[in-house]
Amino acid sequence: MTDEKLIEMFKNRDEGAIRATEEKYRGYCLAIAANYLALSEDREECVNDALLVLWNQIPPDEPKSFTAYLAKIVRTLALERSRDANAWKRGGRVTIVGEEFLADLTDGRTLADDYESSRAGAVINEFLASLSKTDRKIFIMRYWFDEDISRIAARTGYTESRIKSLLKRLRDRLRVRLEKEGITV
Amino acid sequence: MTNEVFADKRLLEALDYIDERFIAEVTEDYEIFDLPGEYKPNRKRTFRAYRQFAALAACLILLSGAFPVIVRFVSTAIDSIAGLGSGTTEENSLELDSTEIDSPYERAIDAYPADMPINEIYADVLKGGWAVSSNMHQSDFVEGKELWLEFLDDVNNEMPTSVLLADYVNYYADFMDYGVRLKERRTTIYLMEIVYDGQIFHYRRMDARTDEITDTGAYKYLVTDIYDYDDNGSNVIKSGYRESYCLTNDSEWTYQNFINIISSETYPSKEFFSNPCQVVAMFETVYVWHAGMEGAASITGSIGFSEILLDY
Repeated sequence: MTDEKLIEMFKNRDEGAIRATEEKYRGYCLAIAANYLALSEDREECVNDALLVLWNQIPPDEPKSFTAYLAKIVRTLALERSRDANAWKRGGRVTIVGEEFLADLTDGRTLADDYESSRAGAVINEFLASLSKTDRKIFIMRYWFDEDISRIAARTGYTESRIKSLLKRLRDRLRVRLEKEGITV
Repeated sequence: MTNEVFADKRLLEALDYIDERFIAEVTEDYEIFDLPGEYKPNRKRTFRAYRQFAALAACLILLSGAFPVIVRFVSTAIDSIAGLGSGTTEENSLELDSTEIDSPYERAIDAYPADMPINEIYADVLKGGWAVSSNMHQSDFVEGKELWLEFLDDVNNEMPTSVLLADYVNYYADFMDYGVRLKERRTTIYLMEIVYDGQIFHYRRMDARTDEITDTGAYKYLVTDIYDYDDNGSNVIKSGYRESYCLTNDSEWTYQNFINIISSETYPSKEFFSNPCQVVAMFETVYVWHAGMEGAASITGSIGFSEILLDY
């Protein structure tokens, strides 16, 4: 079933949309959740919650990219669940990515408030728009999808060392951009 | 508890604001499998790009491989610094400051009158067998671009044994920010010597003032770009006008441009690919541009097209 058809079913309040979405994207959603949640039960609940969010959000939302829209929902739910469960302390990949992402950007200092997050988000989007598509995808895979370097390397055909050096350069450039916009990191 | 991740998690929360279209670029590349996260990249698309690249690379090698070429780029520059609000120099004015220039490489240009328009200097240099390239970061260098294209037409499938290029480099101090006018503009003077052994372009970059070797390396292929600019002279690339003529082995950015070029059926720059002389002669422009944009990392950094070719 096409994504357009799925969206149409959601808009028409056809409950078959939920079953169809789960059938098509269950593995996809579980894979994203797995980047943040260690327990299979947590991942399953996350996926179920995502389906409910889809039902409640469409309409009025009408996503242009269903996969991206769904990925965002799953990621957000998974992150919330992992934070609630104090999963950051478990030494999972999220923590490692967080430390890597932050180490070059923050020097141990902290952002002031939630407003900084949204401003930083806008700057990050501008920064991403300035990148090549390949660089941008690698950045997203690493810091948004929380993918392992090895997996990113396998998917892109680049070596791991190249991925690492690229990410380091991107973090450095992002830091400069954030500081230029007056966002303290 | 003090925890760097918790303390700075708002920066991570900023990632939540990432535009969905960027996320879609990743999600739409992969086929969907069941757990555990066994994504499969779109190999067909990647392989087609590699195949096109390899075909072009093979063509270039065959055309140029039997003749070692020594290509020397001689950079000349007019050193000017303009600052916002300084009022000391007009933003678009170019001045020869012979007091600061003391290098054998600038003397050729230094011989010209200080008030001679740069494009006339270029034209005169061309008559002497030199070719001129320009970074064309401002609209006032459009004329230089025309001269450059005329030169390319004159070359016309010939492989010279020696090509000297005089180059004006407009080096933005803060070049990475597209569309952002910069507070300072200055030009640099350097020598680029490139020796082509039939397969590899070996280069060394020398500070023309000090003769210090600032960089050395080798490219399997070379790349250059010409950009069009708006009337304000800001570094805006007009849609459809950006052209790449070859490849370096150092930048995914450039590689992506190349893929975009060869994917286009009507792109005029494909004609340049068939002429390795033109390809070689235009190397310098993009090198300088990359130096300003990415810094040394992009020039000497990652693995590049040679590996891609090997993978293929």
